[in-house]
Amino acid sequence: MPMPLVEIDHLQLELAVESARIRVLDGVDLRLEPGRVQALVGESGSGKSITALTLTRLLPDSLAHRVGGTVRVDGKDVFALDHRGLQGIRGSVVSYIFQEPASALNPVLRVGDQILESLRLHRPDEATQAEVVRWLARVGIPSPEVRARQYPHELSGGMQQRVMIAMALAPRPRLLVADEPTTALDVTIQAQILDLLRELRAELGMAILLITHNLGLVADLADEVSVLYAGQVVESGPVTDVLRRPAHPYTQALLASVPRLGGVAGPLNTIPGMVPPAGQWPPGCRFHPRCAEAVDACARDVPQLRDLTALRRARCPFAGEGASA
Amino acid sequence: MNLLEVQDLKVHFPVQLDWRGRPTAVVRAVDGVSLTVRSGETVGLVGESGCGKSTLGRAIVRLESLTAGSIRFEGHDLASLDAAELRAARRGLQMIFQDPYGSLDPRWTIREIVEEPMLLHGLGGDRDSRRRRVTQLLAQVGLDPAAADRYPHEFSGGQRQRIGIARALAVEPHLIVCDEVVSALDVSVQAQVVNLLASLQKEMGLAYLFIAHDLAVVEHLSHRIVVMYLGRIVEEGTSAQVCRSPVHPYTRALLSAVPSPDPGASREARVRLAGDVPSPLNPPAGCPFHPRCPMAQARCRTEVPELRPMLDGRRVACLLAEE
Repeated sequence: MPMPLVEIDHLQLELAVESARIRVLDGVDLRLEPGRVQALVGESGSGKSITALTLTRLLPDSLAHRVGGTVRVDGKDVFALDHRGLQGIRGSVVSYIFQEPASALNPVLRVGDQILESLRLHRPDEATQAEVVRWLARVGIPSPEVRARQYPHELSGGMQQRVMIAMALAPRPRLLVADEPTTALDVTIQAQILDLLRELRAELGMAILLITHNLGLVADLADEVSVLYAGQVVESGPVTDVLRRPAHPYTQALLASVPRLGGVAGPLNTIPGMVPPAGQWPPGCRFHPRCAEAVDACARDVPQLRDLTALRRARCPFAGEGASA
Repeated sequence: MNLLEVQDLKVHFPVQLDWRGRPTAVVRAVDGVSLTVRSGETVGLVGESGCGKSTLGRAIVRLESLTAGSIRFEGHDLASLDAAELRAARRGLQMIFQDPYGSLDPRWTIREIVEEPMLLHGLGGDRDSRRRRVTQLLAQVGLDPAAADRYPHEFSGGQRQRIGIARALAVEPHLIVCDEVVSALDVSVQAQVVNLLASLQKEMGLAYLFIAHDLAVVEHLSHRIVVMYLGRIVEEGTSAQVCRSPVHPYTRALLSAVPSPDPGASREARVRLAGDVPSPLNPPAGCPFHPRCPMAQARCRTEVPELRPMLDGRRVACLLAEE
């Protein structure tokens, strides 16, 4: 069995907010094998983006405090690395693309120069204009020689996201973290970007950590999925199994509340209340106040993430192998 | 009866002023749109960013000035009224916006926010009866009446959207233009707001013009759906006609691009569109969709397709569509 590229074990993290510390992750477990696509889904405030930033310790140490657990990337304990060690995995092992390409690109630098900068940092031998143009062509940008000399504002949102992908992939990372990569794009452009990610994954053999709230994207791109709720992984397993037969009541309710094209009329299923913000998590099972199946014990006993089968896990004492969705 | 009748509406924005301040180019955001909304009906308006759907919604409530065309609401021609008459006519016509954070004044209490439209229209009677009305409205949208004395920042996105709905309901409108009202909400909260809109419609016989880019939500709520591309309607029909058997190649591509949360749904059957939406500053000649259309023929490059009725009652603007 190959060594996992990412191994997060029971990660607990607190953020310093003014004089207080707020727990934002409280039991995140994640394992990503080379070349696989792992989705991390959850609603706002579930901790999915913070988990991704922790992979290369992108949050400043003065802000983010690890309380427990470990994060290993490519076999290295991320919290034991010094600055040089971190620079060694940032970009060349783990690279990121974010939701809003317009704010992640430097508005006063030509897009070609931004890709060149990424190459200079991580693959200095390849830092040539020809390589930049090759990357722009590779991500499907027409007339790449012309585009390389343009500024971000001269490109559409879909083109900007392609530039971001080129910048992230030019150092040939083994893991691409895609944080809501298509949320700001129209569906027809989203479909183009998904196709591109699929192609590049097949060609370069990289792994992808897809962070999204869109279950459609998960079904479309990912092999495995972990569902986050209030700073904890509540369910994980192969995408097909989890989406067809969700085991945790939260996953079940989430799937049932998504309207589908060609779906049945009538009221949508809803989850009462709202996602509790960090710092206001209820005792016992975090989901119990909104759970239709909660019993008295759920308000008291803290559920553990346990194995349902060899591949599936859920954080609910009543979860079987999953009901049909 | 038609509550709203929009006839050949155009909204053009002059851009790129020259040194004398004269426009050298025009964005045709809405370019000849006709549509109707009946009493108690939901009409969905879909299309990608820049297609003009939001501009159309804003023009209908007269937040944009019209370049040409007419808007009749409950028999009044909104385009020809003066400010006072417009205010009176507009009582029945309200709008809810996308951003629940930006559309509520942070320094006002919820009571002041919900009361304001009543005061503007001289409704709600004295102070006590307005208080009762606010309590009743908040309860109607599923908020605790104690919310009235709090401020917008104390509420989550979903709750703020409920406040926006309560404010719109305060003057007992007949039509509400909803511009991307659930787009910014989490999935579980989005379902709550969608259900609230549907149940309010049932209780009060409201009509909605529901503008959104999420086709699954639009299909769920709408009786009829209008699809826009570059400022024009390309297809219009019942929800089932548009979503289950789309005729226009753009509608087909748009629907097939939506990823399904059901694993195994085939992505191979997808119609892939190349390129981006062209700039409305410089729309292509002929059919505006032809440069991206997988079925385009020579005449699509020169002939502009009219929106014409099909045998099943829908309207389609495609030269190749067969009646």
